[in-house]
Amino acid sequence: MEEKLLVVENLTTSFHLQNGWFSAIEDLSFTLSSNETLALVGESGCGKSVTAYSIMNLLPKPGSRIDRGSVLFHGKDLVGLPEAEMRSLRGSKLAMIFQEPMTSLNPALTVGQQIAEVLYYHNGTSKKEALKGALELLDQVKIPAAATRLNDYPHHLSGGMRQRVMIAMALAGRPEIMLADEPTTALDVTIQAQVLALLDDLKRELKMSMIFITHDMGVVARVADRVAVMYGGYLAEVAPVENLFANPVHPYTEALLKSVPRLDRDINDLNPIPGLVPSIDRMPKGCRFAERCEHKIDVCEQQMPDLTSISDAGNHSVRCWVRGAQATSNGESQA
Amino acid sequence: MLKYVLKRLAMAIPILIAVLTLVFVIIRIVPGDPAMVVLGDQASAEALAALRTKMGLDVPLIQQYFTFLFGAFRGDLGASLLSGRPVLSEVMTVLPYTIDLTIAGVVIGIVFGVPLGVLTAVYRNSVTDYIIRVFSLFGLSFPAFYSAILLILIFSIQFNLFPVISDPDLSNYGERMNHLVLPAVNLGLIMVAYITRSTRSSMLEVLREDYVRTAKAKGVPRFVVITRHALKNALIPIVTVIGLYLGVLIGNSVLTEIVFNRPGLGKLILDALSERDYTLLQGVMVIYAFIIVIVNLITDLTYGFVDPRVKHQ
Ligand SMILES: Nc1ncnc2c1ncn2[C@@H]1O[C@H](COP(=O)(O)OP(=O)(O)O)[C@@H](O)[C@H]1O
Ligand code: SF4
Ligand SMILES: [Mg+2]
Repeated sequence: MEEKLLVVENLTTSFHLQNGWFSAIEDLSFTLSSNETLALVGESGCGKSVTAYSIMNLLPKPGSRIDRGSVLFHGKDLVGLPEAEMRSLRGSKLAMIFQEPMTSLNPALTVGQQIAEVLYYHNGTSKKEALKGALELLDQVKIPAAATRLNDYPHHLSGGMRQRVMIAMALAGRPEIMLADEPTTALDVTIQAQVLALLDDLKRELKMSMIFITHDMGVVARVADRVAVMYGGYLAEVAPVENLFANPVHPYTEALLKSVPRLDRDINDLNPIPGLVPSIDRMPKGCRFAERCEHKIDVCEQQMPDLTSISDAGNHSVRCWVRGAQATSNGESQA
Repeated sequence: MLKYVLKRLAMAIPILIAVLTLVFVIIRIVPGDPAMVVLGDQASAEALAALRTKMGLDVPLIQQYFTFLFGAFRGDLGASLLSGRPVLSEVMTVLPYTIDLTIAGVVIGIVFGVPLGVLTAVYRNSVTDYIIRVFSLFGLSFPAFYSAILLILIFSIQFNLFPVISDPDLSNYGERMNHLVLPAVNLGLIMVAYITRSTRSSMLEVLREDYVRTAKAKGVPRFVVITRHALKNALIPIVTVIGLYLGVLIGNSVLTEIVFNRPGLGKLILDALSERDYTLLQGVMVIYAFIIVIVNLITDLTYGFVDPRVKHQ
C-alpha cells in the first residue's frame, strides 16, 4: 500500500452554541497520499472549513472542541499535540490559504514582511536573508515586478495579487500539505483560472499534497485527483475524480453536479438544489440530506446510513440507504 | 504624507477661528462691566471710561472682535489686568510645568494601560480580566481631586514617601522627579483606566480578524501574533482615544495642580478667576483651546503614521 501522508479517523468537532454543544463535523475519515490533491466539496455550511481548522488546530478557542478522532500526519497524531510542536508544523509542513484575500493579509505590514516572517520563525533565517527569500517566493508565484512589490502594503494589491501573496506565504515553509480553503471563490472568473493554474503548477513542481476545499464542481474537475463530498458534517461520497463524474452515486453528489453551469447546457437548465444545509443545532436524526432528497425512503429519516464501499477496488464509498444498496452487488445495505 | 500634513494644518485654521470667536462671545456674555470689576463699584465715571479705553472696550463690538482675532494670531493676547505683564508670557512661564505633568500622566497611562488592555483582551472573561476591568471602572468614576487627596493622605502623610506640595522648580533633577510622582500618578490613573478599556475593546475586535488567523496559520509565536499582528492594528484607534482624552487630561491636570499646589495652567486659571483678571482668563482660554487643537492635529498625524492606509493616500 502506498504511503499515506495524512490519515484522518473518526474526527468529530463541536461548537458551543447558546443551547449546548453541537457537532459541525462528525465521524470524518479520509486519507491523503503524497502528491495527491483531495477535493473537499459541499455547499456552504457543510463543515469543510471546520475540517481544515481541526487539522491545523486553528479552531477558535474557547467555544470549540475536538470530541474524538485522530489526525495522523506521518503517523503522529496532531489532535492534542502540544501547542509548541503544533506551531512548528503550522506554516512549515502544513500550510493553509484562505478564501478572503481582501481580509486575510495584515493591513499594517508590508507584503515582504509578511512572507519573510515565515522564513524567519521557521528556518531561523536572518531578517535580511528572509526578505531575499520573500522576493524569490514572489517571483515563484509570478507576481510581476516582484522587487517593487516587496514594500507594498496589501491595500495596494488587487484580489488576485493578494491571493498570490497568500500562496507565496504558504509556500515559504516548503509545506508537504497545502490546505486551500476556497482560494478562488472570491476572485473573478479569469483571475480564478490563473490562480488555479498557478496552484496546480506549484503543486507538481514542489511535490506537495493538497486538500482543496471548494463548493464548485467545475473547480473540482480542474484540480482534484480524489473527491470527498461532504454534507451536514458527514462524508456523503468519496471517489477518484473520474469515477465521481462518470458515476455519481449519492443523490447529493448528483444534485451538486446538476447545479454546475456547463458550456453544453443552457443556463436555464441549471438546477440549484432546493432548500438549505441545516444548521448544526437543527440536524435531523436520520440521513442529514433527507429533507432535500428525492429518493428518500422510510428508514432515511430514522437512521443515519454508514459510509459503505461500493467498488471492488475499495476506492469508492457512499453513505446512502437507497443508492448504497443498489450499488453493492449483493443488494444489501451494510448497516 | 506631506499633502496629508498640509491638509490637516489647513483644517486647523477654521477650527481655531471658531474657538476664538466662541471665547470672545463667552467673555462678552458674562454679565458685568469688566472695568467696574477691576476698579470696584466705587470708581468714578472718568476712571471707568479711561480704563475702558485702555482695554479697548469703547470701540464697536465688531472692531473689538477683529482686534482680538488678529491680536491672537500675532500672539498678542493683551496684558494681565493684575500684573500688567503680557498674558502670553504669564502663560508661557507656567505652561512647561503643566506639559511636564501631562506628559508624565500620558506616559504612565500608556505604559500600564496598553499591556493591561492586551492582557484583558487575550484572557477575556477570565478572573484577570474581571479584576482589571473592575479597577479601571473604579479609576474612571473617581474624581481627580478626590484621588489626589487620597494619594496625599496615603503616600505623603501616612508613609511620608512624597512631598505634599509639588514644586516643579527644584534644581536637583531627582528631587524634581520626586515632586512629580504623585501628581503624575494621579493623572496617570485615569489615563490607565481609559487606555486599558479602549485597548481591550480594540484588541478584541482585531483578534477576530482574518489576518490574525493567517498569522496563527503561519506558525509564528503567540506573542508575535498578539503584538506584531494584532496590537499593531489595534493601536490605530487607541492613538485617537489617547488624543481625545488628552483634553480630559489637561482638565484633570488643572484639578491636580490645585490640590498639589503646583504651579501650572490650573493654578493660573484659579488665580485669574479669584482675582477677576478677565484678560488673563480670556488669554488662558485661548491658549487652552489652541493646545487642544494642536493635540488633535498631532493625533491625526500620528494616525497617519501608524496606519499605512492613511500614509499613502
Ligand atoms: N466558530 C463557530 N462557532 C459556531 N459554529 C460554527 C463556527 N464555525 C463554524 N460553525 C458552524 O459549523 C458548520 C460548518 O461550518 P464551515 O466548516 O465553516 O462550513 P463550510 O463548509 O462552508 O466551510 C456551519 O453550520 C457553521 O455555522
Ligand atoms: S439515505 Fe435516503 S435521504 Fe439520504 S441521500 Fe440516501 S436516499 Fe436520500
Ligand atoms: Mg468555509
